[in-house]
Amino acid sequence: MSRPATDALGRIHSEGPAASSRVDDPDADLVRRVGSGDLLAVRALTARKLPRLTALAARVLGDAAEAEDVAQESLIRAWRQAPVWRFGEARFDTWLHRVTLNLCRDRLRRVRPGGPQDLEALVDPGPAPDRGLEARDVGDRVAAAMAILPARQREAVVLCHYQEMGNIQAAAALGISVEALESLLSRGRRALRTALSDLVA
Amino acid sequence: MTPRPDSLAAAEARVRQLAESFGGDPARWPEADRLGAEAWIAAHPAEARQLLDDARSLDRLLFAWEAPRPTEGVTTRVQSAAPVQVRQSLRRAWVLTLTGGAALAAACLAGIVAAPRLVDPVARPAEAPAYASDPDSILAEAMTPWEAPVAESATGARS
Repeated sequence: MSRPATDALGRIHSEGPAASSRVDDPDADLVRRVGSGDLLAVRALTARKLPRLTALAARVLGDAAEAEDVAQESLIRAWRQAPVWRFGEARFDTWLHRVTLNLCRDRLRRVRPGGPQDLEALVDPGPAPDRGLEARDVGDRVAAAMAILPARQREAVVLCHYQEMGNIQAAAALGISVEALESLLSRGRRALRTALSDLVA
Repeated sequence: MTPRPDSLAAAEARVRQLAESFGGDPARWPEADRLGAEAWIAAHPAEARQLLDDARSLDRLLFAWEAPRPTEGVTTRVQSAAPVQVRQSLRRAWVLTLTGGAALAAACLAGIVAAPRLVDPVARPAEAPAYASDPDSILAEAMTPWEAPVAESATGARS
């Protein structure tokens, strides 16, 4: 088995204006309907994207309240974008992730130059019946380990691991190559493994 | 055909890289790599199990970190903002289209108006030139006394 050539990755799957083939977007129909003022589509797109963007912002910012503000702003920009969206050039979800990440970076630069700090805000207020204290402790440890990762590594891990993006989509959201993404992921996961070494089985 | 040892080593190294970067679930690996990686995994179950289990142990830990869910309040705010935002965006797009069209029309009109003036590049000006052209006028102009400007402050100082 040989490593896939970069051009094959870029040519077949790349997103953005340079893509030679049109991007298949699972959100295209909803976005089109939102752009024509369909309120049912607004509700459906909110249900699909708001939890996803809130989770993304919370994990990047380390602050639940700020994450909600960022997710709200991202979706308001989505409403503005929907009527003029150029279908086939990129996935709407990738664009939304990029907008959310940029808003997060702005906040981190402006408000907290040191990065995420308020990790307690990320912990759920009440544990679910099936969720013990131990799982909650582990979650807190993971949040703390993620918070000390360099920003780009944290973003890469959040996009691929938690947002379940493929490498092409995550690289497009970060504005980097797939090779650079893979390097960020590898370094990020290695640092996490070290930070959580007492918990890794 | 038996694969060469160096290609097997490369395949193992690539599977290791994929697990280190994307975790222990091959379904999450880049599509372009997946088929080849799965073939290696199927051919080397013992090595693959150890390698993937190692990556999965970190995956499980990472999944213990749960993200907050959006509140009812933010959901309502986001949805209620949509009609105004969509309308404004459509209006802006229309204005841009109309102003773009108007600018183009104005440019065309300006071209139509200006075109007749541009067709005769050697056309003579309507009035005589403001400079002397015959020898007598040139001499008269040269003999005209030149009056130097006098600074107000200088005259004031003398009086």
